Amino acid sequence: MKWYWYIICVILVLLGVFCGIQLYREVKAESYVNGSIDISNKFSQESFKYTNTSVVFYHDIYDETDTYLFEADCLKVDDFNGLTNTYQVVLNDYILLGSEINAGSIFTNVNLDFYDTYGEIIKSVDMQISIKFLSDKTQLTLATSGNENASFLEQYFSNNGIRLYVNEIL
Amino acid sequence: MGNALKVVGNCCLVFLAILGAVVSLALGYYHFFVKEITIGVNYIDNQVGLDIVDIINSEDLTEEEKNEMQDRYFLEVNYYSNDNNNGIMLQELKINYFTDFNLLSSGYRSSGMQYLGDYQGLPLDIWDGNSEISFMKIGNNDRYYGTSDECVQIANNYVDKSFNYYDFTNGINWNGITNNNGSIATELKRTTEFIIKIDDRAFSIKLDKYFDKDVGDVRNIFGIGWKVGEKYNRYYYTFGSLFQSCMKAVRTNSAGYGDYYITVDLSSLFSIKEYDLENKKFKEDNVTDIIKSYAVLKFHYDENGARNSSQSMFGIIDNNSKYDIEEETVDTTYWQERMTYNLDEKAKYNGKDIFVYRYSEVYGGYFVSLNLDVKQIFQEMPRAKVNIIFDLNSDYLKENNINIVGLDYNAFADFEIDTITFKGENQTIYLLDSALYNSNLKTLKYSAGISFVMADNSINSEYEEVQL
Repeated sequence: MKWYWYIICVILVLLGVFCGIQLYREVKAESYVNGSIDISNKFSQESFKYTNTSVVFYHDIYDETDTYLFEADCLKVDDFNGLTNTYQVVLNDYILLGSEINAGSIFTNVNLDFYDTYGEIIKSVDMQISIKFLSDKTQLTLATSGNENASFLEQYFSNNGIRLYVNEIL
Repeated sequence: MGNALKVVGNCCLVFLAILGAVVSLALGYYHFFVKEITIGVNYIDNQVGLDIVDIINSEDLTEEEKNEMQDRYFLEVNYYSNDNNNGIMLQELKINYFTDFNLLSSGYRSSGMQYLGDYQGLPLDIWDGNSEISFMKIGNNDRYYGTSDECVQIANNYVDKSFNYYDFTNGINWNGITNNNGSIATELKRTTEFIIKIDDRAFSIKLDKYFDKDVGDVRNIFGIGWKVGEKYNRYYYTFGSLFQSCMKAVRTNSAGYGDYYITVDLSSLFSIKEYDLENKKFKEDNVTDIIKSYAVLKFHYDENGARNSSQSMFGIIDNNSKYDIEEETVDTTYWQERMTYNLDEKAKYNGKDIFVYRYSEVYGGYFVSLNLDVKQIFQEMPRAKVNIIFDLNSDYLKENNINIVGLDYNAFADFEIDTITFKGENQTIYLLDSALYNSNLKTLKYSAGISFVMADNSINSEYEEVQL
């Protein structure tokens, strides 16, 4: 055999090995599924719940009442009825007494006192909470007056987050 | 003997060569005429550590804590659209992954990018013109630009400077990108490979895809042009492409503003390799014809503009953790906050009066005390600050024929009160045994005509008296 036949043979052998491996892999190849996805978006909830790591109040520059608002559209609540059922409003583990509960809405006031390191009150802040249970969504509004009050509340919610629940008392 | 061996050797070699040729032909035949399409699908779901599953099942955690630990998806978007024109438009993308193939919570790491405004990026185009022509296919004149080693290197090292980049480790976000002077952060570029969890197994994922766009090979003489072949430019996807796609997906979602999950198709951007536990290597799948990769994208889409850094998913805006669009910020430093409760005779808990009234024939009126359930509730709210106000002439008390003559035995014992107020006219209020014992009462307010008769151990705290 001529020398170049050796080279051709070696190339063919190497090609055969490569193609053999590839052929084996292609023959053995199967379709596959790795993992699964398990998510579902909620468009309604059984009872009202709003949680977040912070709250930021906005002031409308055309509003002359110096009101600062935080507004959020939340999921629709199924079957809220303030006329027939009893509800409890809980903000950051504080049960809010004296809430005005209407057929499809809740209004309540909270007062937070902020103390300095000497134990003296440096700021006393009132905040109004309004929850309106509409047919397609729930509107949550937190309101306070003045930039200072809004800033203290923002700091409080930044430190503690917000966890607002409306629980039905059975 | 020698010749015989040589002949045998040659025969073997020729046989192997023929076998090799047959196998090659078999591969060709199988590949083009027999092979059926195979499809691989990767679903990238929640990226919680394998060790977290046990922790989540623990009864020690609240539902909220469980939810927080459960929610860790590969892609997260935070989008403040500023549609209400009350802040700045803020777009953020975070990628959650693991640092090793053990997939434990100790290997958590997140990297993200932030853009102030509406990002309008495009896939990276590195046009190298006619100087870098490469003939990619045999047998035709298709030409590809932007494929030289130099272009690939540029593409692979490209980091879009218009973003702020943040890493998240050990509960803290930070920016460690230092551009040309080295970086201690994870650079989001095409060579960056992340480890993720699919089906409780480790996979690596890398944004390394590209697409070729026909730019036409047109000849033109005296204004008359004609196409003579295919000419392509290679466009490289970058993390900016991913960012832009994610923002568009969020902006166009049908549910509108809110917090939702969608499943996005990452097949055209990312390559995925499975970790082989036996060989301890990530193996590339170059056999499966079509590989699709789907990932959950969790997003927050807001109609407001971002106002301060607490709204960022990194807690930082424009590398400033104190970012606020308000020029004058209020000093909100405080030690402690307390929720104030002003309880009067009308106050109710779960629809029932919070005060209990006991009639005394001896005193000819009612002694008041606090409902035990309410007492218990307030003991579970240690930061509550309670003020109690009795308007002895209130319509509520009159309508219910209740004339309060004092505080009953143990009425508010072991119940912390800041201020108690009695409003009314000439009347004596009796404080029976332990009525305010261990109440830490600080202030007693009362109208001018009201006087008190207190049992010896009715109260054991020092308080201030204020006449209204």
